[in-house]
Amino acid sequence: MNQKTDKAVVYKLIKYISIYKFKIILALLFGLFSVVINIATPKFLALIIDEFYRALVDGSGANLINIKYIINIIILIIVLYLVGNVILYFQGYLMSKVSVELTYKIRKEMNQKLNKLPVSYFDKVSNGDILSRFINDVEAMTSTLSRVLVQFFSSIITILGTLIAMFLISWRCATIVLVIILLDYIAMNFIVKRSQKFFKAQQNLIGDLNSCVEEFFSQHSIVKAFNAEKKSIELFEDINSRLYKSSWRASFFSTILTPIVFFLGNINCMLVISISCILTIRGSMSIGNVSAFINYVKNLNQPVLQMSNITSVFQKILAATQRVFDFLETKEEQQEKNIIKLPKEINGNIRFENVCFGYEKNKDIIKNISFEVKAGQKVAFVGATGSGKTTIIKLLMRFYEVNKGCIYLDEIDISRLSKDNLRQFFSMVLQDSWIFSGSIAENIRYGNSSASDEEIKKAAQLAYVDHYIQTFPDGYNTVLLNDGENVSQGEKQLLMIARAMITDPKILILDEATSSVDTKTERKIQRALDNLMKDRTSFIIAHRLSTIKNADIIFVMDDGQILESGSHEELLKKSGIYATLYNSQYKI
Amino acid sequence: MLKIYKYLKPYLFLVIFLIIFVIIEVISELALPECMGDMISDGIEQFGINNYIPVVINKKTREDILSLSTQENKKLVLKSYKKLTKQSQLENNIKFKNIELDFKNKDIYINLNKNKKELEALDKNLFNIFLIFESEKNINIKNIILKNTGLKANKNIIYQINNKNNINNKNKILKIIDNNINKIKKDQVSSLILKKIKNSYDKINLDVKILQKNYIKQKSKQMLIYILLADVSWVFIIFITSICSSGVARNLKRDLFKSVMNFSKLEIDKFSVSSLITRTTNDINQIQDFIFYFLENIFFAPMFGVIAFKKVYEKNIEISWAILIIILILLVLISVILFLVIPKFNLVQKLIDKINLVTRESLTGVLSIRAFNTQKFEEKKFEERNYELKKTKWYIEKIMNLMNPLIFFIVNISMVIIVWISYKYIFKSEFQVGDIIVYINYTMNVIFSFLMMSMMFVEIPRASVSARRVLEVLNTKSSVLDTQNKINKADFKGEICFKNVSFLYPGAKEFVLKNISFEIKPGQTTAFIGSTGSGKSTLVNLIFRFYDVSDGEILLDKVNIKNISLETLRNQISYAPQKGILFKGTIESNIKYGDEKAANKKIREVAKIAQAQDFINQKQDKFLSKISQRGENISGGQRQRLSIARALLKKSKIYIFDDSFSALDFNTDFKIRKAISNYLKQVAVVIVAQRVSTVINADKIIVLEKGQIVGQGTHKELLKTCKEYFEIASNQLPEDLLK
Repeated sequence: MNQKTDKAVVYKLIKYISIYKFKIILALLFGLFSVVINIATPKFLALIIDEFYRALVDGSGANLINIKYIINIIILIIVLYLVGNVILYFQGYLMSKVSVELTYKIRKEMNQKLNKLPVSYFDKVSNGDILSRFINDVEAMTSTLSRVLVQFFSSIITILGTLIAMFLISWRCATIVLVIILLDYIAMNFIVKRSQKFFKAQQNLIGDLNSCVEEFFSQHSIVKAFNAEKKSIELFEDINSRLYKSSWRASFFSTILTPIVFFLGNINCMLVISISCILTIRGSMSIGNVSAFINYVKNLNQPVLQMSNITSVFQKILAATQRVFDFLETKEEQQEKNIIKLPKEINGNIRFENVCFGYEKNKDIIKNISFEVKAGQKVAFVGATGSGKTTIIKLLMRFYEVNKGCIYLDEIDISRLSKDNLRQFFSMVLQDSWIFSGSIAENIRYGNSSASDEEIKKAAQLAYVDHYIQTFPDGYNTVLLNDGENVSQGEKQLLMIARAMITDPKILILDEATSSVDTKTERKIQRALDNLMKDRTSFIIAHRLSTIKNADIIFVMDDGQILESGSHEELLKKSGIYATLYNSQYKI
Repeated sequence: MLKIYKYLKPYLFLVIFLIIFVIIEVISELALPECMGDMISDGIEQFGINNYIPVVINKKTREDILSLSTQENKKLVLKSYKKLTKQSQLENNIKFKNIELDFKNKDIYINLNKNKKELEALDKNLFNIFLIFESEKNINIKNIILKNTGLKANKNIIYQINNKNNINNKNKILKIIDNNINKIKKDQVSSLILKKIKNSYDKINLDVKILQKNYIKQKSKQMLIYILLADVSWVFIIFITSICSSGVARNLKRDLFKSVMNFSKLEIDKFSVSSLITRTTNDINQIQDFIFYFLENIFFAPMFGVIAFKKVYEKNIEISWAILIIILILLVLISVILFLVIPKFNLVQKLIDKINLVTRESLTGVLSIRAFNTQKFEEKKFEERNYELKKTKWYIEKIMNLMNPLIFFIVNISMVIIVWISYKYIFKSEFQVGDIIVYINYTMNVIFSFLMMSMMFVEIPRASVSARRVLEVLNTKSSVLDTQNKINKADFKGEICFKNVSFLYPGAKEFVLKNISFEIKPGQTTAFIGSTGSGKSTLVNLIFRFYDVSDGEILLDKVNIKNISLETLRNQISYAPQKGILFKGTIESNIKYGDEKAANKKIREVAKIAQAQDFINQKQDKFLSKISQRGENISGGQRQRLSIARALLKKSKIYIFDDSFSALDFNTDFKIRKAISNYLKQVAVVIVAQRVSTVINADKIIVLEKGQIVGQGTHKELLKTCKEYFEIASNQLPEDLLK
């Protein structure tokens, strides 16, 4: 990431969290208070020590000591500590509140965004990528953000405040501390730059190792079938030992900063003590101040260390934030303008007129397609993978928007309808059955949230799945888990048909499954689909010969164009592409 | 967890070094507060006088000392103290206030003895002698000193002793006095003596500031050495822990990878691939981090804490009690907080999993959601989980936020307590002001090491979960193993025979394959057809011994395959899998996977048979075109063609094509099958398919349904004899082919 985008992200981040600005400012103020108290208390302890020393030097007797004075200071210190830590608690409380709220808000917005994105987005970005933005990136961004903010702020304040307090006591000692802190900074820069190299190497090798493991584990049977275990182990070992080398270096160089900072801190301590002792001997510093100085110098180690890794932590946060914002800022589906509303009852005539579509300019996947489908007709699309069958369906349901041309539903341009309005007349059954975790009834009702239990049962009956559902002890309330792993593939398809049935759509879209199920279920599916297609305009991406043969119109597609159309018999008579394809398939 | 430590064994030597460095670090680190304390106590409060040997004395003092010395000590004093000269004054950096010293008139003696042993003796003797002087002012001390000496307390001691003319008598008395003095606590009287020395300096107008500065310089040097020792050994500790933790991780990864590579499919299924991946990567990384943390602290923290505590305990029991009570309070506090919070941590993990699930469902169902207009419903589902997560996190945060302020407060208060306790001892002259700083430091050290240890104990459960997950894999043995008396011959014909084979996943109720018997002959094409879940793929897996049969036997050339070494068996069989599985690399490296030594000509030949020539030639780098992981940068059909080419390149007796034509269009499918049947002669070809058109030409078609063979024969035969086959065929084939 370069600095320019960094800046942009920081700016966006600040803007985004500015709704919590009062909480954050208050928390930072609290931070300021608690740091001030932390700096003030050693000074009070110094007063006590000075009083002891005074009493010791004046005469050696406990009765000479001003006990009241001491007790007053001790009470003051305890109160200060109490107040300081209560403030610290509230600071943490506020920042946690911000972090928890922020996590909640971002996830919520991301989820809402999910439904506003064009479908084409999901073709380009993998599910795993989006998921990791939802889970890991949000976590990395919000959980550390508030902590880092406070840390950064209090570290700076502590360093500055302590330096000021030191300068007030003795400018000589304070100057030494300042010089040592600068040395700290130089050492940190040096080491961080050095270790960066190992970190990058380590990161790359971890990536290599992970993909190596993923590859060989998921393709285990191929490795075994080709007797390539040894070769795989060698390859793995090569990466593994290289990773080892850069891994220990990376961990060594990143941790070594701590002893270096502590070393400089100790040196600091030593110099300050010897100098302040000498100053005390000269009488220009009190013994209590020496102890205060020791306290101050020791308290500096932690903030200095925190400052050292703050850049890398912040980099990580920014990277995560960038990914989250990238998602949130993805272009949404266009808002519809000049919306016309469809009448409650439609016929279901569909007409494509010179439709062109492509993800990229000048690279059309659908090339100038025109056709007409009358209400109630069954239409089959035939063609190889990538010929554009699925795209046509997606254009019809406006998952994609046409680049050129128009699609008409009952002679109304569908781009002038709202998507909700359009889609309520459609229903679809896809190749991959989509089951979500929930009961069977919920999964069927998904098609029509107002459906009664009887309606669900009826839909299931028409889909020939009622009997199967009854075999579960919980019947319709059986909970389907993990993408429906407790039901077979065939039954899942039947459930999908029931779900489509309950919407009672005017137009039906069907993507036939390529993998077959056992013959008995296959027959059930066939009959269920027949029930479903009755009296509806149906678009079918067909794989089964029987479906193709029964279609009113067959569109033969290739490379985004319709090459031929007509019924099975008509096309065979034509002896065109369909006929050759049909015959070549079954040549003996 | 303990078993992981076995992996530290190769690093035992380094660990021993580690312990040595830890000892050095602890000792030097703990010497620092003492140095600081000394600087303040001795350097400032005691004017740099840190022993009982005055640097310079005047004639009178010298005579007093000599008069109270035994014979031996007299010699020592005479040997050590020499008359001050200009030269020795300069050498020893001695200065006097205002007065230019007249060496002839004033006799000043300087200690020039550098012998350590003698100085020690001198220190002890002079302490006693000074105490005797001092006792003149303090009747209590005098009474103790004069016990059993026969001397009178109301008379001057020096006078009484010097009155004894008999040297032996004098020595005897001095010895008794020495014994008496040994019973007196040194701490209680030392400040008196140091004051006495200071007075004697004042008498001769010695500039003590120089002494103080010298002392502080000397202490600073000492401190510098300790700092160097502590931090250099710390660096070494980090060096060793880095090497050990990375090394253990490397060895664990290696062993894990090796054992997974030896697994049969059964174990892979049992663990699931994704879980094995996390175990090899995340879990081992977790262990690596823990070992680093563990090695860095396991020796250091307890040693540091205990020694610091011991140092306090030796000097003051009251403060050590206070420390114990503070630790106890911290222990209770941390336990209570963790007790409240840890169950919620697990809950958070579960809630995040739930959010993950809902999001994943929203993503996989994106088309359905849009089609059914159920965006609001999905948002509500997400919202519920998100809100629940927020609530739980907030609960945790509220409690966890208590941790720091409470610990800080306790630490702060303990400082005040130590100051308060010290106050009493300071006025009993047992403590000096510098000691307060020392004790505060040690107390902080004890608390710090306690916190470090408790952090480690918090980390242990997490690491041990990972360790358990890794060990679970390491301790699992492959269920398919080479038998002892294995056959290693090379010239198999390639005849496979299944005899009543059944297969049941361990723990499952239903057989995946039931009572399967058939033969595969060289020179013939045998096809398997059946729906998803009919057991076709399992059957292929059994031929490779990815699983072992539950019942019955599989024979290769009449030999049970269990008696053939796995390597030999798998050398006989070539395999093109269902999903065109490729590896990261190039097109060529992927095809070559079938035969490392294959000539380029051969590679091109098989690519042509697999109908991959065209698309390869269209690529810019031809055969050297890059293939990304899993072959994601080329289409499914292209992947299948490359995996077919790979299978063809391997010279075998049996070629298995497991549904490897499914992503091809009918035309390519047909062309490949034709080319293959020309290329593969005299060998057994096995085709597994769902499409009837793919198997229609096979010499023998075996129809599987629900794990059982429901028909065997040619296409024509099966149409008549097998109802299930007819059903499948009628769905896919035109009527004229159904006769």
